[in-house]
Amino acid sequence: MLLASAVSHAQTITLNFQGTSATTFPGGPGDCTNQVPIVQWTSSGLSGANACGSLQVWVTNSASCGATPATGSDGGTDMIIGTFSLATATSGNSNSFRFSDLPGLSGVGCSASVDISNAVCASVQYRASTVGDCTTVQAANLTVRYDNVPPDPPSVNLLPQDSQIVVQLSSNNDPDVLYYRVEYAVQPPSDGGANWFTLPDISANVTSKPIQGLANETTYLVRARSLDEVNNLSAYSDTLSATPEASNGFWAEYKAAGGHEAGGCNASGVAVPSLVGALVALVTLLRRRR
Amino acid sequence: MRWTAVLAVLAATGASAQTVVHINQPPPPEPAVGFLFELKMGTFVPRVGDEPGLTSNPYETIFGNKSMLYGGGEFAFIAWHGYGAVSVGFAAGYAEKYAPAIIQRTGELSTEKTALILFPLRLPVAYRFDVTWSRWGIPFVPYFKTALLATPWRVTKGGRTEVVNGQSGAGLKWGYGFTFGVAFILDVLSKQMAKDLSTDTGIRHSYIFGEYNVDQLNDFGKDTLNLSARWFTFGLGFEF
Repeated sequence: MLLASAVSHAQTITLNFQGTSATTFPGGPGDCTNQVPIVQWTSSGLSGANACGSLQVWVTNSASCGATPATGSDGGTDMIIGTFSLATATSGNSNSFRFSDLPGLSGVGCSASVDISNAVCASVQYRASTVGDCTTVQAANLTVRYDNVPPDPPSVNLLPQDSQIVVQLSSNNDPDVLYYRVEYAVQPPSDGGANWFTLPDISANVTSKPIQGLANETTYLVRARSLDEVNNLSAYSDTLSATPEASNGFWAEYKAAGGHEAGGCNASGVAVPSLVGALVALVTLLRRRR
Repeated sequence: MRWTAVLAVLAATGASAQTVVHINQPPPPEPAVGFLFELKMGTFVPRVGDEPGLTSNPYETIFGNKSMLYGGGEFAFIAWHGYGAVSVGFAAGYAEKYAPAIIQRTGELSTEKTALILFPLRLPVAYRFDVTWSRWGIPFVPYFKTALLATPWRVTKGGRTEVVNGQSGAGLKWGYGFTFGVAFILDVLSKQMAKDLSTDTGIRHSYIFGEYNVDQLNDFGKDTLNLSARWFTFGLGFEF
């Protein structure tokens, strides 16, 4: 009976960020004083009757959880964000905290160039049966990330075309890159400054993007930056130049050679009725076949 | 079949009185009507340069006179089956050719691609001299088709329809065509497989074929974009 009871009522703790199903919550330089979402905890199979102590929720100083809050190997101390009695509740919310409170940032501050991931953990000891030692059940499925390290600048290649320049982009295998920001300008005289225009951010899944509406036989400068998930901007790529040139496709070459075709549907007087008549005859034959 | 029966009777004549004579049943006659389905492919060079008044052949200039690749299918209804077969059908296909555009100022090749894209449609009427197979057992069936052609066409540059002086490089081209072909009846390779295929799927015959097409595709002789061609197609067909 006891065994069956233990199996049917497994003891678990689950954690989630309030208002989002994401298990990692990232923040960047602009988020230092912003609050991390409240951590919600829910227990199952646990109560005041079998708990050996209080449930603790904390943020570690590393990417993994220990059994209990502790002093991290890097000198930082885990931050407890809530202690709860299972005798009074089986779920609840942690205390609020800011990115700047993260244990991984203690001693260095938000302005440091760091990319840290701190795990959010919960644990409680419980007794599986009325006799015997207490064992620990814990949850470690959430992470808070603070990223102040810019991604690598993208590699850029330019293909000058007719009234446009195609910008080929590569993230250089940097997994943090989510977007590219491409800027272009007419190449100024040697003593002048360039007047840069910025394209809307381009997803890193896109490997080439045309800059359209450019003047042919005018030299343009193009440069790009990468953005990561918290809008850290990389340094600029190399600035490249390209000159769009008018080109002839087959149609332009045909017209230049004196072609008389004007495009559109040149339906001859007999062609359309012939086609329709033939189709009707085919359909009639098919229907007669049935 | 008849020879088999005669031989069996002759053998029986010289055998004992208890010999059982087996006479094979003649094959069922070919149904009067049916359907054909063909998949085909080929290559061709449109005779763009044949248009009167052109100062050069733009197809050759852009595409280097290389062939367009064509793939398509044809569905036909066998309307009459007697001494040969007459069918009417509908064929649709796709052909394209890509090449770099040419920079106007320098004449060099651009990084931008231009393409000629065709969607050939045709309404063919065909006569197949299939007596060669059905009566004489020769697995080659010659045939002839004449067809009304309609080909939507489009020229692109950089993935978009090319426009020159407000004229869009797209349209519909009409014409007519003739086709001469020979089909090789695959049934001859394995009659048992052919029989099983007919029983299981209703496909009475399968065949491969090669054909020569003479297409006049210039709006019935007008001085416009000439997409006429002389070309071969090859494919696989099924009669059911």
